[in-house]
Amino acid sequence: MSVAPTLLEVRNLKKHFPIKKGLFNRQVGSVKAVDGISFEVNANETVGLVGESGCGKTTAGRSLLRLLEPTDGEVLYKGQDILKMGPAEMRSLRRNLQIIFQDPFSSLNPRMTIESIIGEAITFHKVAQGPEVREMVEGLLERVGLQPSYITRYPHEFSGGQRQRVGIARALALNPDFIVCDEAVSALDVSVQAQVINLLMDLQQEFNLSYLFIAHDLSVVQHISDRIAVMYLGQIAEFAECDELYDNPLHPYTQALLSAIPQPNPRRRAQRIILKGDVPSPMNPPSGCRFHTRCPACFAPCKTVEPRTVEPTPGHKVRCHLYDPEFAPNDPDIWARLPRQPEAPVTVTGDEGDAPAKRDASSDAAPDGTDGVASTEAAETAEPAATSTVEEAGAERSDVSSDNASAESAEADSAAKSNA
Amino acid sequence: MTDSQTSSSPPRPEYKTYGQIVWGQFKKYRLSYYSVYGVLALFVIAMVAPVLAMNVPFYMHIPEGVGPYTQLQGTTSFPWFAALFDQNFFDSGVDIFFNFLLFYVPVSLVGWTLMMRFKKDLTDTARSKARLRFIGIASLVGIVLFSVIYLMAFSQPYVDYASLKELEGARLIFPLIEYSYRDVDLMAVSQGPSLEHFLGTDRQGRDVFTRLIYGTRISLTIGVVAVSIYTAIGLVLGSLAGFFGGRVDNIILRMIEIMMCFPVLFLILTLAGFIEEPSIFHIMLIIGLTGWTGIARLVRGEFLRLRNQDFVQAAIALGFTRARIIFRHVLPNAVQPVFVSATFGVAGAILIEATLSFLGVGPANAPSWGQILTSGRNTQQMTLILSSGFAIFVTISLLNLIGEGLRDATDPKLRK
Repeated sequence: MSVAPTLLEVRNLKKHFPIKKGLFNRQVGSVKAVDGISFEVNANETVGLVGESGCGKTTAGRSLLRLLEPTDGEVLYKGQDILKMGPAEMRSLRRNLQIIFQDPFSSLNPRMTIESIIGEAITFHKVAQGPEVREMVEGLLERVGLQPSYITRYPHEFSGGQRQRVGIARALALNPDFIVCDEAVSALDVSVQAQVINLLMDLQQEFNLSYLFIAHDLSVVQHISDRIAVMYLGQIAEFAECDELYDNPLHPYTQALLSAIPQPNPRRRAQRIILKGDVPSPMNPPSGCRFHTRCPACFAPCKTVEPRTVEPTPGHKVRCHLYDPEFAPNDPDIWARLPRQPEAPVTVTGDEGDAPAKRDASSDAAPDGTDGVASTEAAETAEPAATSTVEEAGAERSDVSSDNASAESAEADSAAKSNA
Repeated sequence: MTDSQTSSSPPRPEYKTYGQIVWGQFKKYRLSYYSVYGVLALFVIAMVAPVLAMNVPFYMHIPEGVGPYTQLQGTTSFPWFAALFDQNFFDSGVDIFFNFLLFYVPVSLVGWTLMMRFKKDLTDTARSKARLRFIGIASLVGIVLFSVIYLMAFSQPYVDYASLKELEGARLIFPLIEYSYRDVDLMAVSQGPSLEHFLGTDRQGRDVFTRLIYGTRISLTIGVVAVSIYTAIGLVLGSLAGFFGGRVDNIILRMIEIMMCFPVLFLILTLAGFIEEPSIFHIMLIIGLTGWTGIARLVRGEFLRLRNQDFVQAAIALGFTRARIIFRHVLPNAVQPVFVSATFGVAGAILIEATLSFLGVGPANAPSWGQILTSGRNTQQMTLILSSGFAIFVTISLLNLIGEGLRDATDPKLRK
């Protein structure tokens, strides 16, 4: 993946929603939904974007397609800044940038047949004319696993999964390079989720697509992504290769998030990190590091100085003072408070207390690659084989209980993987 | 594809389009459903009014050397048909239009039946599509034909056919009632009901029953046209406000608020006061220009709701033009409550016209129900008041019943 050319580069993208009040609509503040995010998507790559509800994932996805007009920043598609384009130029460029939506029930026009939903873009952009359009639509339907004879039907005649396939076919109709999957599988039930994810992965191979895969389901993201960006309150907290992020999460928030993945094995009791408090309001984000109000390893500069993005290991970016050589604390107590010790701490010196034991434990689990257990007891990590390929996550809330739903979904997910 | 559907695969469950679902629901409201037939009947009455009542004979034969009209002597003619499009006889375009429909609607219906004879093996959806297309083409052709007929401005000199009836040897076959809605008969002023005049005559000696029949045309036209005008204005302004938001929305909302500050009836009365001799077109225009605020707000709300729906976002992401998104994607989903509101609006417009006529600022010469009502008040004749009042009551009730049924049928919470 590293040799692949950069397809889409996002630089310092911001989207602030103004809050207006009073008789003359004075602007009294703004909701900083997306506040300066930067990442890049390479050709034929999937970048996952995860985070809690309300952290700005969807806003980020939509503003980089200019469905919402961003406040500031640059989005370079093959070197061109799409935010500076005029309407006509933008309209023709949209053929290359598509989106798949979360809710399959509101993403299809209820008054149009499947043929016109998918075919409209083909005729509008003059890709084909006349009877050819119908053939193309039938071909697309077949490709996404629907019967070609469905073209005369209306959206309400389909189930959620089928509708999502129609949405995928619509996104594919113009043969794009890049698709934003905005929680594309979150609204589907788990067995259908697995099918749709596998479909997306097959299509990626076939059409050489790049995805920005927005989700809150960590296991899904891990399954499909090459690289993952973790968002917190409008900023990217950590950005790394998928395996690297799951094996060696650096940012305390990422560690907490990963620890919330429910374990299907009841004998293996993961140490779950419960974050205290609520997500602060994006209207009035905390000073300094945005995570400091909930961070277990918060120390002096976190409250006042905004962290920089640093790269402790190549390709692994993290926005945290702990790894910034300028601020990195020497106090072992702070490192000990970190829920999970990094494998190769950058600037840690001095006494490490009981940290090494835990680090050993997690590195035992690490070679397996797919084991996303956040922090485990050493005795129990000795037998990870039984469930090594199965995880299910519900990191939407940090206190997900492993209820029936997640157990079911874990089974379905593993079934999907064995199918694949 | 059709082969595989008919032979191998099991018959697919027949899914309904949205329109079919609403129609199916609507049928369950019996009263509303029958009201549709009631309104259709009113429409038919409006259409066949000249067959029921007109003082021009269907057939006329006048022997040689008889009567005052030398050009008619010794001829056999069918003056009724020519008089239908005679703009000297029917001075209003509304009458010419309904007379035109009297021929055009049956011809279209026959055409449709014949077409269905030839294409029997159509599925339900294909048939409803063909029907839609047929209606579209037929109305287009009809509009063009009517425009041609109307612009030809055919007219012929006035002939007093009633006097010819008395002539020796003349044979004339008249419609059921031998009066016109505008011919003044000073010999029979303010009469009560009789066999000659079923509902009596007004102060100018005009037959009230005839006027009542022709009044159906006026009422239906005023209702439909006035509502079309304000629905069109409301749709455009509401769409603009809802879709673009921001400053456009602000300006349009302020316009709506200013309009809503005035009591509508007094605004209409004031506007009507500026026109010296209001015709029914003036009345339609006035009602149309004052009534759009409700529709505009309704459409704006729908647009605000739909604009953020994912399918509209998808349309933007597919690079469609704004016009296409508004008209193809948002508007078809936003018009449904407008239909309901428009049905009630037709009833309201008819009522407003009756009110205006009653207050003396309505169309002075048209045989509208309000005019009959007010002349009944002037002459203190119960039959005039009761008959026209009953006609207004029936029409308004039918339209309101349809509106209610439609409202309930489109509301998924009230599904039966």
